[in-house]
Amino acid sequence: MTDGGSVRIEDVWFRYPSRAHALRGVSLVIEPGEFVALIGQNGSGKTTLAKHFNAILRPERGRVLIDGDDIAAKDTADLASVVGYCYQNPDHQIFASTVAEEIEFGPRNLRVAEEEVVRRTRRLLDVVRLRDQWSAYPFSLSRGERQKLAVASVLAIEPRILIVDEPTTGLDWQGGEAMMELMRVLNAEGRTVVIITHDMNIVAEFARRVVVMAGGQIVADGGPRAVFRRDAELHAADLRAPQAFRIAQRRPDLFGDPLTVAEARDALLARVGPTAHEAAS
Amino acid sequence: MTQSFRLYEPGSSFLYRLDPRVKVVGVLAVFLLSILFTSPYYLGPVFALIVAIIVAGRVPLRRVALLLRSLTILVLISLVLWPLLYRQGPIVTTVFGFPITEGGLEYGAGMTFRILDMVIAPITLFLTTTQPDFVAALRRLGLPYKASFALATSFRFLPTVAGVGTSIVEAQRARGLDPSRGSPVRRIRSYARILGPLVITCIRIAQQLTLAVEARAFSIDRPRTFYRQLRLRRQDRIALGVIGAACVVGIAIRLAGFGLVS
Amino acid sequence: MRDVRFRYPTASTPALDGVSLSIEDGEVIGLAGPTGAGKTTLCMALAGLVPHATGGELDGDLRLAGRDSKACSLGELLAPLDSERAFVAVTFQDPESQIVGMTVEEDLAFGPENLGIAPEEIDRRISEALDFVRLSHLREAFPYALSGGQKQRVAIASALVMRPRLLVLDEPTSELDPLGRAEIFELIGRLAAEGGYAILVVEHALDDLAAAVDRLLIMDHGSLVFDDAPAKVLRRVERLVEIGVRPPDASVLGLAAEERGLIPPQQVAFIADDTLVAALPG
Repeated sequence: MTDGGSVRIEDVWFRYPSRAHALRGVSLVIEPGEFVALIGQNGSGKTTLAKHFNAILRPERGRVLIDGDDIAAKDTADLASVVGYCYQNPDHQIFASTVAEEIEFGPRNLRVAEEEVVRRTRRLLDVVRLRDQWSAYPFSLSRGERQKLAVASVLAIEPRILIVDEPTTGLDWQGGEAMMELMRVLNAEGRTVVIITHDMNIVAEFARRVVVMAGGQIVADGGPRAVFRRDAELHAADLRAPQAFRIAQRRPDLFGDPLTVAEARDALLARVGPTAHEAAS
Repeated sequence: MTQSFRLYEPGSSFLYRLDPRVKVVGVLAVFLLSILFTSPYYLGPVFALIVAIIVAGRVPLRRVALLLRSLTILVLISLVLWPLLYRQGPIVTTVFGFPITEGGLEYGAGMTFRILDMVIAPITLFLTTTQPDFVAALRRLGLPYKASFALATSFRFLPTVAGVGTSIVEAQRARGLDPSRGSPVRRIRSYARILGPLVITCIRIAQQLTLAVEARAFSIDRPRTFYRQLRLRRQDRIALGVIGAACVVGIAIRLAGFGLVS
Repeated sequence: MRDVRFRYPTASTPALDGVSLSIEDGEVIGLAGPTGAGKTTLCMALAGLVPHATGGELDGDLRLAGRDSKACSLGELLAPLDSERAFVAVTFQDPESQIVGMTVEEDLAFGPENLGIAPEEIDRRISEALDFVRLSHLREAFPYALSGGQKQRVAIASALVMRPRLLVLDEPTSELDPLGRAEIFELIGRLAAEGGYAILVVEHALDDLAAAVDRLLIMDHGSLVFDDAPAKVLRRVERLVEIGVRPPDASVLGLAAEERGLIPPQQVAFIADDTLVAALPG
């Protein structure tokens, strides 16, 4: 799984018909195995940018290279085996009459050998915890389960690059965490993972690189800590670092330099010993 | 991506200020006149009259022309086919052994004007009338409320459904499914894979919409009022008079035996 | 609402399992809980849609403005016959599929038209409501072209024109970006300040919600687990995590600081970062 998975965007400009530019000279290099969060408001250009990764949209100017190859001449359907793109709304993607069939569709369509299709399907049913529902009608599943099924059906193609648009929208806290744990496992397997999200807590907890977009341009790019400290750029993008991070920034003596609330809490408990009252009891 | 499926182009001429009911009646009158006659000597002036109204009403001609472009083939077929098929009167010339008659040429020209009249009139209506005004006009002209509500809802959700369709096609392409490729059987199956999610999504929207509509007292047991009031003003009555007169004159001419290709 | 139980026609487990709740005029209430806890069902029961539009069995005592939900028709529940005000108006999660009108104006007119209100009065209400949600400039706009936040504000305006005594907002921000969320919470703040009706807001993120309401309900498995002031509920961090609702970071860190004796034991939880930072010593 470590062969390839890089994305190179060179000075890409794009505009939808009869509208202002949605991308204004974006350059970005994503190395194989990275876990990137693309953040920004609706209309900032983040989804437009991601749709260039598999040629759903094509640049008006500039180049998109996947594993070093310019994809200008390639078709979205042909890129499916390299770049997996999961849409925000799982219901736009699901069509099969059982959960298993849904997962099998991608590899079958690409003429993968039958025993290999079965092997991948079994494994993915386990990964997304839908093994018991393998014969269920997809639309009878809960929203969170449908979202996981949508990701599994894209993963069955075993793309080296996985893009997931808003993996946690419509899910509650636990559902979102489960979804992101899945992303983390897939990334640990060596896949490049790009998520598009609004949820800064998710970014803090899972992403290792954060790309902030505003007005069709990248305004900040770096590790989550570095990006969360750039108040001016975040403010310009109408975003805010997670609350625990903001509190810790004001009291590093107590909370250290945490990303998540759990880290902040642990730092506090480690720095300040148990009180006399607690020690006595 | 965000097509609105609306023809309406904002404007302020007399055509825009006219009561939408008058405009709907006007379109029906054009239909009547177009069906009454077959001769281009009568249908031509009707066409000229519509063009004059469009120009005087400052309807964006570019939009009209753009919409008419899709009719080019139909117009050409009508111009070529009728003279070939319809034979009456003296032969003018022969094309590939087909005799072309004077009557045939006349009939072809007449039918072409008929198509143009019957298409341009509704286009003008939709270019100068908002959807709510159009629906209100139909309702006031006797369309039952439930039917006008259904019409309004389809106007409202057409772009939504089209947007959903676009994202479904994109999502399927991203999974390696290309409906424009492969054998016919494969293509049909590809389209079925797009239709499935589309239908399910539409059902979901419809369920949601039902709740939203019920929550706003749709099925409450009391007489409903209508916010969008239409009032016939002086110019509307004058316009109705002119339309009525035109219809009467048209019917009279036809009854007197004129207006057909001889 | 006393000991209300409800089951959807095709479900095996109840969506509401013994909920007791009373809402007074002018209260601003937040409701949170994991997916499937029954939040939406509760909202729909308050609007009479459960059971009248959804089917299913409703048990227990549910009174809306004193009228028995089971005995009355949906129309009677929504608005008493002589009234030009609706008892309750509700907005839904999906911004797109709740806008009925071909234009913003038409959408706002739809509810009052059903209530049989005179056109001049409808016009007055539309102007006021659009002014309130700051969308007067989009009165003639086509709903599809609006942003998610704008659509949700149109939905709220369409509820306001019904002049409800209870306004129910079911997850108004779950499909919105941070800017859209901020717009909606700013609007909820002004609605609460204006008074005149009770408001119930369902929301996933407790930090924004807790700061905006006077009373916070937490649901799990069809029952109410908490019903108290937000600052009291948020002290129960461990229980909240167990239920599956994410407590605000400030509440978690405040409790840890208390545990270590950095700040004296409090009666209430911290919600905003400023209040926590101000309370910390040094």
